[in-house]
Amino acid sequence: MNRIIYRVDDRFIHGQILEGWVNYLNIPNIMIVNDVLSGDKIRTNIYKSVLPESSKLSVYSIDDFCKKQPVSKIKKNYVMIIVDSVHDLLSLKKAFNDDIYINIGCVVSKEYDICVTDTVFLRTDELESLKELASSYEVYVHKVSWEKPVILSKFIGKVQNEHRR
Amino acid sequence: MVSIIILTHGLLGEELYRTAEMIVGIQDKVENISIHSGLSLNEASLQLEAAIDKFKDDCCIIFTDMFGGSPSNISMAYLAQDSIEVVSGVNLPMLLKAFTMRMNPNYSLTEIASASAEAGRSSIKVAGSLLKIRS
Repeated sequence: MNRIIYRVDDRFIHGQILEGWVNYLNIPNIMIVNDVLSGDKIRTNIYKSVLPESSKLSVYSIDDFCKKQPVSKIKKNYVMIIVDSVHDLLSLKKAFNDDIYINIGCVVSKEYDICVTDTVFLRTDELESLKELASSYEVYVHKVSWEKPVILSKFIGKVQNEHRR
Repeated sequence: MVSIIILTHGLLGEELYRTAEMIVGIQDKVENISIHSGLSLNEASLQLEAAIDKFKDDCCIIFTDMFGGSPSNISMAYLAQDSIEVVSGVNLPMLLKAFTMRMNPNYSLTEIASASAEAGRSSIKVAGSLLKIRS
């Protein structure tokens, strides 16, 4: 698994992130990129308070993240960048490089077309966008780090077959 | 009487509540909210908001399962209100302490929350070690 982990998770930091990623892999750098949360001090402080002392949380707006490119300043150790939607993930594309790992973790959109797993529900347009992204990067559905990741293209094939039936 | 909201992943809270009632009897002013894997954070927050609104004239303790988990995180957003306390790591002894202690109107919200947390903590024993010490 590459060092720079992009995760789509609409719960941001929660049990799966803490136990399944941050503590298990000792991830010292966590970044949330979200326009709403970057202006919400209370929620930011809540998320900071639940992380282990060895992990640092930074919160950025999308513009700020793209301008500052904070990931490029971290030369070693894992970095996890969390966004809450496929749309926001695509907004960060200009920060992507070959060392990234894209992980669709928890997306419980209220309106969805496709149930990919019990925690990943996507609209058709989101799946199409991910399909496009998967042509350049490896995109995985990966709930917790010790589970075997499933490459998203496997789900795309499955969903298309189901639609044909 | 201090109201109680139990907010957990899955059916954990519902079963704890049901089990606690088996021991200390039917309880008033308790709401249980279960966060299932397909429930969005927004929907869960709306359910919590409705429960808090229901108890708006009382002090309220929100018991959550795991510090850092979504139930705990969304509850902590209400800590700006003096009438609300959040206690994470809910277990049966913790809930039993809250249910029995709140019957006495002389105890404050903070006292009940602190004593409940302590009851939850002190009930955790590695029983084998305990027996070895005594033998």
